[in-house]
Amino acid sequence: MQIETTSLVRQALRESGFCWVSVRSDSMAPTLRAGDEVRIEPLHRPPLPGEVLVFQGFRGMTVHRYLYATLRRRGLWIRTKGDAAPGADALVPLKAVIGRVTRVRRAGSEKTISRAGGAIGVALTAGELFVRSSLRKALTPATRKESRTLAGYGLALEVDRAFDPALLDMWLKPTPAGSAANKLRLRMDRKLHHDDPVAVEREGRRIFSSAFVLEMNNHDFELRVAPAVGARSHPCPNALENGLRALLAELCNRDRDCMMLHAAAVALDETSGAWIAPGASGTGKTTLCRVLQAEGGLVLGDDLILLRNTTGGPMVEGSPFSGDGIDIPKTPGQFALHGWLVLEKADRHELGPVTPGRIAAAIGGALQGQGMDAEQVLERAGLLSGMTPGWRLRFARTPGLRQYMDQAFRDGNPD
Amino acid sequence: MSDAEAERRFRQRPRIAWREIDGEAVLVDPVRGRMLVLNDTGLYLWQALELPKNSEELADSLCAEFEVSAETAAHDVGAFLESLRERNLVEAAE
Repeated sequence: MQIETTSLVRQALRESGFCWVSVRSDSMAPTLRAGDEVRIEPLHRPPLPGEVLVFQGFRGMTVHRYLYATLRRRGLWIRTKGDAAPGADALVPLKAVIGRVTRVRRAGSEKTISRAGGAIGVALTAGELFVRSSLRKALTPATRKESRTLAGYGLALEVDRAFDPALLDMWLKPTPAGSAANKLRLRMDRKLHHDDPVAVEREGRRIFSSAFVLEMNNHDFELRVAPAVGARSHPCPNALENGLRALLAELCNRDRDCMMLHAAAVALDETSGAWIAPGASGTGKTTLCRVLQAEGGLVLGDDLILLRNTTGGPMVEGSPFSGDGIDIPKTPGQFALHGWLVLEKADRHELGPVTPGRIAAAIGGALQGQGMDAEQVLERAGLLSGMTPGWRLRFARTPGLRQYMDQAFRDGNPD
Repeated sequence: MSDAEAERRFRQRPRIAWREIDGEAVLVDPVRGRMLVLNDTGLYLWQALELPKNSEELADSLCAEFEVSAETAAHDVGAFLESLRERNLVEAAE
């Protein structure tokens, strides 16, 4: 579909923020027909699949629906199609996009142009926090006091009936001398079992369901791994770790400048920023980390990561916890937040746009289960999703992912 | 869908947390603990359900706002309402 204005459109968008132009063909029928007037608005973000775009095509300015982007040597190119056209258009560079069509006037009535082309959509994003990680060593009775830090938070541990010191060292680092420490009492009653009907309680309120109780009174924490009642006989190795995860979530909640996310965080190298990939179990977080790490990429965390608000901007760091029962080596330190990735497993690597709503939903799912109510989850997810851009990353277990991402985010400059 | 079913009015269930983000609706399902995303037409209908509506009223409203055929609107609205009901996000209005 060609429209009868050219340079005037760009000027009008710059000066007024929108303009109306007439449609001259039926290639977008039935959405748009010859004679319709369409409202064009500038596009200050990457286009989203399904949006009707105005772009400088090979035969002049064109209004067609955006399908997807693809990476070429000279950057990102987009594929478009007229709703009434039998096939897609030739690729045009992303920079050829002038704006998007938001409204149409026809026969005296004005209507909104749907991104989805008429279909009403509902998408689900699972929210789940405390996935299991492996803890295979047996618990042994002992009593002692320990000083450790958990992801930067100082803790004074009073272990009533303790266990193999290696268990603590798996997640807790020694507390630096003189650091402020919260008080944590750890009491192991006996060997644990699956399906312990015990909940985590926070000031009398149940917050996590697992085989432990975390009781908190200001800065005093008591993590009690409770005995099973009518439980099965096989041992539960995860209760201590889940308790420590709950404790870290609580510490982050009390720290206004820190958030914990159920997400992976990766960087292409020491100088690049970090990408956060929020998602429930099975979305590909650990797989992404393994693929990138095998190619020299850095993994900050593959299951739980921390996002800290600093004077230098949002910074990402890992936590001691891993997903899928496999401890992936993690790169310590803080990396600047570069963006969000919504993961999809696929048979090839492909980077594409994703709506801010999808990003917010993924972040919200990664925040759930930390004692926040739904409004707080939405508020934080909305805030975080608007902080930096996000992309959908389809990736395969095949080589070349790091090189692909490097080219996309540096040479292709999709930002 | 029977006539009686089509005339049944629904509205948003109270205390469903949701937020509009760049033309989409992000909802938290407090029962299942899941996040939901509604696209632009879904957002439009969700906002319409702040007041009781039946499927015919919703389809008419959709046709008035978006360039969509009455047949498509009726089909999609029916499926949309059903998905909201399955997730307990709407309730029948008295």
